[in-house]
Amino acid sequence: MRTHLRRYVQRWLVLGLAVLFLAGCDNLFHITNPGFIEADDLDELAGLPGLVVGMSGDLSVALKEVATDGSIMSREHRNGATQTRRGIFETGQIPFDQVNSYWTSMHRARWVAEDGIKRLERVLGEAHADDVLTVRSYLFAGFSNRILGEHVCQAVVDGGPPEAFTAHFERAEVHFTEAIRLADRQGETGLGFAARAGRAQVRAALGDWSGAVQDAGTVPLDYLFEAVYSDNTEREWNEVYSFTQRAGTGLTVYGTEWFDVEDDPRVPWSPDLDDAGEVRPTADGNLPGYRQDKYLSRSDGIPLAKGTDMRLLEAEALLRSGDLVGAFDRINEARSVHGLPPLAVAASEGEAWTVLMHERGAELWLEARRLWDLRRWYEEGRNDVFDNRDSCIPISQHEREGNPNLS
Amino acid sequence: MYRMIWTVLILTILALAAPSAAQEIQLAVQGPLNGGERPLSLLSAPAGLTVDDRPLTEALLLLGERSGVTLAFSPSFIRDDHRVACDCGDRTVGEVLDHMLDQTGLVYWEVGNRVVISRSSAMTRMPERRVLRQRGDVPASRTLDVLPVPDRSLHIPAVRQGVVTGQVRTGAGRPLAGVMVRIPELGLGTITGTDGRYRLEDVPAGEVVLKAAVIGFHAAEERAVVRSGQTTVVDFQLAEDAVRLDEVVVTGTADRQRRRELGTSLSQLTRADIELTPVRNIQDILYGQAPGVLLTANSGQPGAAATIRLRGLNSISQANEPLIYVDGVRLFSQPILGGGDERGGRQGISPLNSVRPEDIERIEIVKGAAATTLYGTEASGGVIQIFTRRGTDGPTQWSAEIQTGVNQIGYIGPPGDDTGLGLLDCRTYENSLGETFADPTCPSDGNWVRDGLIQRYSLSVSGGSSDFDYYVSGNFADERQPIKRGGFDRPVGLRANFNFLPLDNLTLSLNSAYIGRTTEWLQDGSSSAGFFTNVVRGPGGRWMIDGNPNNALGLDFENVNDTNHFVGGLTARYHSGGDWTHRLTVGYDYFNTEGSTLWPFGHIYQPEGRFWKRHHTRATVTLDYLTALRHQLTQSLGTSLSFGGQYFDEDSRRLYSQGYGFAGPGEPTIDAAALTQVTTDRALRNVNAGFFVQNVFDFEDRLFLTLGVRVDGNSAFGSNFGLQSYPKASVSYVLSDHEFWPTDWWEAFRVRAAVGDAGRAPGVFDAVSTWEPISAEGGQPGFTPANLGNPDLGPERTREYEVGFESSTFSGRLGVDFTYFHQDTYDALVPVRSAPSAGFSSRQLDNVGHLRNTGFEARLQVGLVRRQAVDWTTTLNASTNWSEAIDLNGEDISMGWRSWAREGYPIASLWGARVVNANEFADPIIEEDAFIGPLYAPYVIGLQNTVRLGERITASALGEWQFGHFAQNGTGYQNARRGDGVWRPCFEAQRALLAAEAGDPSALDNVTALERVKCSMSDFSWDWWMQPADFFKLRSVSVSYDWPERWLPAAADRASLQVAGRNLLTVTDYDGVDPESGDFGATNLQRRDYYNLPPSRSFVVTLRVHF
Repeated sequence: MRTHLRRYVQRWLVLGLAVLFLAGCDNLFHITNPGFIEADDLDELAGLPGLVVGMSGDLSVALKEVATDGSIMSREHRNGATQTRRGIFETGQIPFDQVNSYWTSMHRARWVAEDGIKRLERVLGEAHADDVLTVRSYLFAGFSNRILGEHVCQAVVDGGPPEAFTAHFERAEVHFTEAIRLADRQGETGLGFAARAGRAQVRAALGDWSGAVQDAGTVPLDYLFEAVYSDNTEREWNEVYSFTQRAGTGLTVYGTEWFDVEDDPRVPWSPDLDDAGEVRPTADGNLPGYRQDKYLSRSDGIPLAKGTDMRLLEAEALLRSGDLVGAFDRINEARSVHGLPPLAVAASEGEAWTVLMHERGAELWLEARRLWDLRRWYEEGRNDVFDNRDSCIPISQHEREGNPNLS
Repeated sequence: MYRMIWTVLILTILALAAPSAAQEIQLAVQGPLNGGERPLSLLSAPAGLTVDDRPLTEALLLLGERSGVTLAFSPSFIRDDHRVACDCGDRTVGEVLDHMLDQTGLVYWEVGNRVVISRSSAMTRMPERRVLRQRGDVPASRTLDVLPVPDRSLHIPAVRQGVVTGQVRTGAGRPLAGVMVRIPELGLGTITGTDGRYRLEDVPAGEVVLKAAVIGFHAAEERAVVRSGQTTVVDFQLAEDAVRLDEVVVTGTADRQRRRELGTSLSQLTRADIELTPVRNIQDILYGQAPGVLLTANSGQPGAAATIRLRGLNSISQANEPLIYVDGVRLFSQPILGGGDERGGRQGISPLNSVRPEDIERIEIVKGAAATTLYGTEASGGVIQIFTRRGTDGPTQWSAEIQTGVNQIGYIGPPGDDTGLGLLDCRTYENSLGETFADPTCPSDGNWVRDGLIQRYSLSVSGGSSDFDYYVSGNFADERQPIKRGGFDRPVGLRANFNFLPLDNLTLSLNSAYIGRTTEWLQDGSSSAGFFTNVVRGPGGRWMIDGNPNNALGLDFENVNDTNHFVGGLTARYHSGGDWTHRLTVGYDYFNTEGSTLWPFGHIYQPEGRFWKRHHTRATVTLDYLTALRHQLTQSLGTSLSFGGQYFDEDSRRLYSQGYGFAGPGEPTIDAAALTQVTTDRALRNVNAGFFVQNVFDFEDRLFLTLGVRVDGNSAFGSNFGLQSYPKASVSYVLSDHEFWPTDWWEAFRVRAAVGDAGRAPGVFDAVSTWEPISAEGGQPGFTPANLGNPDLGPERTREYEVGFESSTFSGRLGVDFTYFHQDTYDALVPVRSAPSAGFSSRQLDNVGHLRNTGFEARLQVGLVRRQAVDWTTTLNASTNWSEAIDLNGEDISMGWRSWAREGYPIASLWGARVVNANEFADPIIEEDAFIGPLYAPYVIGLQNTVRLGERITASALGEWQFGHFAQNGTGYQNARRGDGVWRPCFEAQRALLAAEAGDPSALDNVTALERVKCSMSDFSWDWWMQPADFFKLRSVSVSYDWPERWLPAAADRASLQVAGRNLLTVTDYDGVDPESGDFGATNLQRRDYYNLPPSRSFVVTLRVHF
């Protein structure tokens, strides 16, 4: 009996192992699930357009987040929602553990563009210089770095050590310069304007006003380059619109300096009225709801560069050089685009600065540019907005946890 | 893939066929007939055999070979020391068998093309043998005869017969129904009726030994002399068995084991336990009924899933739900978030609750890795095995159950809030300033609550014969929420279970069930438009019109879940002779939900309307082959070798869509919207396959040593990882089986110890570096980084040590089941943060963690009174669970909403600022980033008292304590700072704070340090709202009455009426909505009480009739 027992046990063991072996040969555990794309699959020519569209999408996400919640920080909106992450911008005390989303979105936009440039060069080889995808990639790399420089307190690149936030402006300048070179080479005039406008923005941020004016002067007054939004998916929505255009808005113009501005097409807003015609409170029930009307659909783009911004940038440069007449000439040129009457030249430099700062605020309202303007002017003693308030986004908790150079 | 499945199937079929052939060789010897011509009778064939002093088994084998006649017999019937000699070269097979089997008690007969040899008793009473056949609940090796039905006309000596009858009672003298009374030597048996009586007819005259056995009592044995033509009375009195060592359980092998053989603890709930309490679903059955099981109710939304943890959390990144098997078929066990969108679906839909309580025969709860090793990967969270009801031999039995009752909201709100958070009184909301607000949409009777009707109906029919039985049932329920215009839960279920015995040694079981379910939920939780959220917020809510809340607006949203669930399995059990069994199960679990959330057209919130839908489809294929071979090596040493392989193929799909902007009112569809979007489309498939080998060494049926190993592969493992092995070892020693044991007062005692591993696989994409497809630039396809990937990723590996004992003393009056466990989860999957500035922002799982859970579990059963008139049993289930994150790669891991895993602290604990001098009347002293406490209760005590009065009345009460944990009172936090404060416990403090701000510092004299920050409306923080959540809940109370037979209609066999209440009382210092409330409920590791409807109180009357 024992012999029989052994025989049968051996028989079954062998059979069981044979089943597993055969099953294993058939790639039992190798399953490819649909949906996600494995990283190596992107190193193909056909994948490059999607890669660049992804850069654009990530840039739009980063921009809409800082345009929406950052508008509280820059006092273009007051917070009307209960979420903690928005509440920090209202109080002005910005802890590093509440800014993960903004930090991550901005850095993803930058990394995707910069890594994508390398992938384009790797896949396209010499031909990359003649492909418009490369120009667009440099543009996205430039604008994402500009957004970072304007919003963060310190720069961190690719898991490296912390640097001055201006490092992002410097990277942006390099990217815009390359974009200009390739756009000119390819005859992409429109993209060339965007790159020059972007470089003007970062040169000004770096204090290179002459360089900034040089670039700005090449951009036509009516030129506009926007981050793209769409009704298509929630990720593509213009969040400034979707978060304000509903009963019980999460952001209200009430309580900001722009609540006092009426009949300015650059700063449109309206009350959130209920059926009884009463102003409905904000979502948190704390403030009267007055909502922005600048963006009237989820598909409305948010400008990244435009001719009016260039004129105002030229105006500021002229003002810095003491040329008030020249400065107001540029200001009025920008106003003319909106059908606004020209302003008289201010009597003093101080008054001129007040006008300029207001005009830039109105022109760039809810475009995620105000914070940087306020921040740099605060450093020059031109406002007190950030007295006892934080003026920038600190290195996020996630970056601190995941970056060995920070721990 | 299909080739692989076919390969497995074909090889498995071959494997089943192979032992059959082998069995013929070993146990039914066959060879070519001498002379090549078949004789008219096999018994007249020439034997051609000469043997000299050989063991009988060997001689029979030779006889088969020499004569060419197939001899079928079981070696277990033949004594090892029986030897024979025969010079029988010229004899026939029949003559040789007459000679060899003389004085052996064995007989033979010719059946078809073989000669069957068996015990004489197997022939004499075949009709009664049917009750002893293997039917899934009798240990095969002990009681199963697998011999063919004999032709009674052959070789049966004439016998004289009598009748044996009697009654079986408990130690207290109560009649005991359902007891199997049998005469093993004769293969006779029957079951006692409701009066405890039995009757065995046609018993051969002579001395017999009767045995009476039933689960829950010690088996008893009586000798009697049966006289021809007379009736012999044999009564039994069975002592209660508090530890049930001979209870048969399922352990992952084909061989059902008795509890005494296991080295681990195992909890079992029977049909009687289920009927004792008013249950709506399986999770209701589990509250407080077994140590080591933590259930948290989460919500009062009808049909919402509870959170279930067996021995705590042993993963910080993967689901901790136990595996669920129904009749051997694995279910996709993780709950799915209900509703069409998070705004409307804040709770889980659990596949577990699709199994209707009416259909359940018993539930086995297997806790800890040492016990679940054979289940392999995915089993480290434990296993819940559900066995559904089957037909029994005998006439058709119908059972009907009708239940009706009401759900009520009961007491709700913090102390002092007579408005019940605005639900019980919606005419007057008040804030801390004393301002009152009236809701013009408040119902005319001034409150939002109602009695929510409960109706449940079920009907089943069962029966069977010796080779076929069936159980078919249908049920319907309608349970409504105790809120006006509130939601409901309406399950409709059908089940059909069949067993066939096409051959004496083959059983085919077909189990199938379908349940369709519709639930509708009120919008609550973290949804600023939700009904409950706004009622509780009062003047701080969203629906303020003309300065007053209009909360009926929150009732206009619809959140509906439609579920279809099918579970089907075909199991073949083959007993190939001796003690060798095989089992093959092919199962399919299909679970589909469609959740929808509607903001109707014309609603003030978004007048254009919005509609979300979430479709989830989950399918699991189970292929499970198991075999077990028992063999008695020596008189005192036996072995049971088990091995087998399992293949599980899980397919999970989800499709989320939404429509925005409708042209007009009416019931919308997504494509009727002006803007439609598919927001998520995922199809995830995961394959887990493996095999195991286990051997149990059995020393004199009292010492058992088990050694085993399981090896698994999983498609979610990294490409470099390979297979994972999980070893196990256990020992069980029944000391009370020794003769020296004082069994007169200490009937049973065993000690046990076990160590074993089990695992948990990472998610489908966790090992792969991926980019996610997105849409951008107005609908163009693009990519964005998703997962960094880790090709070395493997499963978490939980190793558990468990020791314990079971003891039954004083005739079962005191039963103790005690266990200490210590489990370490190595290679825990820790989400390691990667720097967002390097592109991939999501955390990447890595096997770098080490978690630990230790604790005690005790079940104490005390028979306080054992009288015929009163039988009172108290059962205490107590457990502790101390968890600790030993190593998290130096990281603090967020487990969601202020709960963290941090090294050196309980897994999932709350952290935040803490007021050191909380109760002092002074300015607060704040300790930042302090450990607050664990999120899950480390101490759970269930206490059940069951009192039987006379023979007809049974009363039962079940209470449960959970303590030592903390909850986040998000409701209080939000209310205290809204609408000038609408959280009543803060009113006085807030008035004092205002007075102090106005220049009266003395106003704060009676305001504690904690109140000064907690109730502040200017400097608010969640931190102050993390509170101890200790509670006691009276889970159920019931009184059942068994109707006297004289009251019953002629067609009815028995009937009972039960009056019961559920969730009747909560005792707690926690002042949030409910200490069990959990936003997102069972779908998440985090826990947060945030405007979630609390569990309802219910009263029901149940009528059960069997006819």
